[in-house]
Amino acid sequence: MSTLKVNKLRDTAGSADAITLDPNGGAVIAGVTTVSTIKVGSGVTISSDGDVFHTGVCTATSFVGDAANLTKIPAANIVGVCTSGLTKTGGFGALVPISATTVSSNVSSVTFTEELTGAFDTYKVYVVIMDGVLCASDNEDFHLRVRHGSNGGTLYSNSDYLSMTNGPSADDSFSAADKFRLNYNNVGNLTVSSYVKEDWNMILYMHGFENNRRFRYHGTTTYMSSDGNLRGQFINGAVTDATEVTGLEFFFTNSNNITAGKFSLFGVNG
Amino acid sequence: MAQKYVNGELVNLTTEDENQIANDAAADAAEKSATGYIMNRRTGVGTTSGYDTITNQLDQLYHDINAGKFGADAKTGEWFVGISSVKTSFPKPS
Repeated sequence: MSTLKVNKLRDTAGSADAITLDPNGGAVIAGVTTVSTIKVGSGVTISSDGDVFHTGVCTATSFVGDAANLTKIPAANIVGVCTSGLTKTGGFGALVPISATTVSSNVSSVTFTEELTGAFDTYKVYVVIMDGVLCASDNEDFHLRVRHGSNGGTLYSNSDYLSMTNGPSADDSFSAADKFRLNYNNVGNLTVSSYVKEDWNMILYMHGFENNRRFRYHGTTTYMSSDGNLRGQFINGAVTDATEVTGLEFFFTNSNNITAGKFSLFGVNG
Repeated sequence: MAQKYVNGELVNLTTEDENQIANDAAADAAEKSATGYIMNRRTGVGTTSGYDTITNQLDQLYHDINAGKFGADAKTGEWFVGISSVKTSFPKPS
């Protein structure tokens, strides 16, 4: 192997003095630390050790510079935590997941409290979605109580709950109660083998968690009553109290009676 | 021991919880004893149905009147004449 040492190489024929390395010759430029311009074509490798080989792809340990023209970055490749400057617009939903509880064996209640990040002083409106909720015993009523005090530590159980149900043969109100009644007809729980014929599903929108407001909810239900009929009502209600709400507690009439189902809490961002 | 979910975590019921549940059960029992029959009549319980829909109840009333169970004068009343008019306008297919 011979070595040619020169100060500069220039093409004497071209006006730009550009030197063309024969692409068919397997030319390797090694030990070069400064290149003014590189045109990346197929089969060009730019990497620290030279063993990465992608068509038309630049590989480097890090990239520095203006990324304004980067496009088509797969969502799955956008990782890490953005601590500032990221605005959720276009493509981000307004429902912000806060917490979800999946019940798989009997419990007395499902509770969400202000201990959760985003609950209940971040958003003006909160939503709870219940899916496939089963009661252990038949003929149950489904209830909601609001809690107050630190981390929902105090149960608000005064007789200041007003709730209404509206639907076919289900227009009624329940006043002076110590909890919200979210159903009109008794909730059934018929299950035949793995076929769940009767369960409870609901979307509940809630407002007025802050001080000096009355907690209010409205939503819709769909379920089967214990006589096997399809039921579903528009529901709404309020507490005639101005205390800040710091917790929500969902339960059936009898204790230890929620046997299955998913309870998901969302904040409404917007 | 009975349990509950709080913020996604399974925890045992506190004494306060158990007292509240006991109070709820007592209150529900008292309410059902005093006024439970009203809701039972409205909603039915289990496989025993409650009141039929208002629409069906009125239809039953119409047929009773039409059958003469309330006397001939009942067929001249404002309600019966109004219902009869609708039925005539939209006859049941034979």
